[in-house]
Amino acid sequence: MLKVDHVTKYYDKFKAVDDLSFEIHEGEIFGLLGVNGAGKTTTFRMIMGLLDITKGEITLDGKKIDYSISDKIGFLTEERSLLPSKTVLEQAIYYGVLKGLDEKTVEKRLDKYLKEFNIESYKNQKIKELSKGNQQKIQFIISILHEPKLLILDEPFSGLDPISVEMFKKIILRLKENNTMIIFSSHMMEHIEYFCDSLVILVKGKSVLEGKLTQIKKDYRRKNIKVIADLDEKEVKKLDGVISIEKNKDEYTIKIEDEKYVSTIFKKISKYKNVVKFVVEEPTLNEIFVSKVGEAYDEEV
Amino acid sequence: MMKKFKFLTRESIKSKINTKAFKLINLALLIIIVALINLDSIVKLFGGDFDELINIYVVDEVGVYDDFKTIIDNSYLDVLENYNAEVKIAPKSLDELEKEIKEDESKDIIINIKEVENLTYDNVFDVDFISYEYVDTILYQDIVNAINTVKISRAMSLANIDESILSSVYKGEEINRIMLSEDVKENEEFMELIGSVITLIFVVPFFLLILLIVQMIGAEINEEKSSKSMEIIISSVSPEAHFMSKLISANVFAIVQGILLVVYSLIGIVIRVFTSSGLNGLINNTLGSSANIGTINEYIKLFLESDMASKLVSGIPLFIVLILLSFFAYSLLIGILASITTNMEDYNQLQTPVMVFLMIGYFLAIYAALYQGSIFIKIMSYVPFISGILAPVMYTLGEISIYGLLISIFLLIVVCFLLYKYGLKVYKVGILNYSSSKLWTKIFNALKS
Repeated sequence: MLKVDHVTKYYDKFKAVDDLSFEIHEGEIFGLLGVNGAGKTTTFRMIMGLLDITKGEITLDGKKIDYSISDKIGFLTEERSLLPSKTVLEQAIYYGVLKGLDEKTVEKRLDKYLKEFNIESYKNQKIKELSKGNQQKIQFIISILHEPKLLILDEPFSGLDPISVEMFKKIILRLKENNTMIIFSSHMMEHIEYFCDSLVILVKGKSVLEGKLTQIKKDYRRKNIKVIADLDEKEVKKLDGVISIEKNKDEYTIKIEDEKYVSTIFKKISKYKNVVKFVVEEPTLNEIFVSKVGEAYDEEV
Repeated sequence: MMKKFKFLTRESIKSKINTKAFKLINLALLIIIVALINLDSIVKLFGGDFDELINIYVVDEVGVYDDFKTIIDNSYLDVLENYNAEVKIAPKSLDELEKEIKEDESKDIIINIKEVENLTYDNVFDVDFISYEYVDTILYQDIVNAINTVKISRAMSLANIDESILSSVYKGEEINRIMLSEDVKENEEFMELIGSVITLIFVVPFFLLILLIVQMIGAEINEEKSSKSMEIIISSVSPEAHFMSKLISANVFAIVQGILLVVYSLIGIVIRVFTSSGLNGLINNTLGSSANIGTINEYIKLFLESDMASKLVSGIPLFIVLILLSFFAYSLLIGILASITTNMEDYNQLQTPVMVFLMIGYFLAIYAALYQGSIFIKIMSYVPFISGILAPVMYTLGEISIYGLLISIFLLIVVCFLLYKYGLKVYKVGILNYSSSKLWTKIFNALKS
């Protein structure tokens, strides 16, 4: 288990992370969200043992993170962290041996993954000669070669085509099945929703929302009602609890402040002609994120 | 951790040595060094105007050819051989020779010695010096000197001075050179010249190897930083291990390259010895035209018998220690500087003062042989970063003692220790820093921690 326990990090007088706490268990994918500069990279660096913690503690399986257990961690950085002059094999051996593997094991595992991604021909090609997408695949493969217990994925799908994204998804879910703890960070909320069991949203180093994704959605009072009917937009907008109404082709999306307004709105909508759809949906994570981050900034102002 | 450290060091050395660039550069260096050592043979192989025999034809109306030839053979033969020139009696008439030289645009010379109508002691014959173009000043001057000697000889003969007296007059005066200083060594004037040559032979490779170290450490650290690989590496090995692996690999590379330079030089010398030029030619090249003051074998003998040779040999163990420590000190400094830069442009700016420091050492080492006894240069030979290049030269020239070398070594050890102790703190912060904002505050805080 990874335990981040009341961790605070100062850079000189600047507070980059403020009393952050969360836990990740084996086989769990955890979302670490936040806008740029929210403190995600600092958190990753503290988990990797690259930065000293000002206050609090981070432990992996009860042990403070140091070089005796750093081999159990894999890290896929947001930017490409490959050495352009090395070949794919050389790069894999370089990072693999530094993570405690022997060269033969590295090559064997590399061959397996290159085959899975159907890029065996790149094995002896220089990193700088590969496309961005292929570099990302190599980076991903290298980050999991040593079968880490904890894997940090920072924007893993950056630069990938849809087919490669599907390949990545398959492998990430396989790692989860194999009890790997995964910290997932992305600005693509649909990916977070797809993978993460629980998450934390950071604003200026502080957690503004945390917990299980299902519970977060449940607790979030605002709902969306999808309606197909011949309704009068202006009249619906005037109803109590309605925040906004948007039309996309034939379908309306009515955003409401609370679930309690659903029955009133249903009564009103049912009076219109040709009502073929009335579905109450949970809000998307993107909406929750925008709302929570916005609130945090508003509070500050 | 030790296993990873060894791996990092090995990989770093491999990435420098096991490359096409290294092999190509070394092949080029081998060719260049061997060619430089055998430059005269190569130049002669291709031939040219210099190779052309210069005939010095003497048209003698007066009958002094034998005297002239004897004087040339006795006193100016070396010069004539250097110019590939030969004195001979004119085989044709003056007009024919002039016509031939003009048509062939040849470098041949005609010395036309003519009778005078009114013979006096100051006018025993007339001489025309005929050539197609201007003749080299040294050759011209030596021929004129020989002619003047013939003139004096003829004038004294006219004055009925006996040949034995004439011979005694010409006999050179034996001068006893007495120097009052007890420190003066035999043939010291030649030692300065040899000292300058040895200085260059030592200083240039040292300078080049330090340049290599500076460039390699900077490029490697910057590549790892700019590609963000540093985070992955430092998450697996400590900054100390990373730092030391860079330093050791760069130093091993410099030592390997240094040994290869010595091997290439030996190959060049062996080729030279086994070619027609022989060892004399090698020394001739090195000493240039000044070699006229004595034969090459004399120089070698002088050098081997001098204090300089024994000092050079006795100082070698300490020189090696001093040079290795200097390599290490430069590596430490440059590693620290590279860690706090965020790209190669910044690094190039930051390394400039270090290079200036190295240049100071380079020039002082060259001036050391010219300004012997200089207190300023002596003091500078103890200054770390300069001592590595200057102290061995100063010791070989007899300007500092073995204790001076030991002081330089001690000061370098102190500087290396301080650089490691405090530099490592900066390095730990620097390698994961990607922003130049508040850089000096970060460095200062790191040093305080």
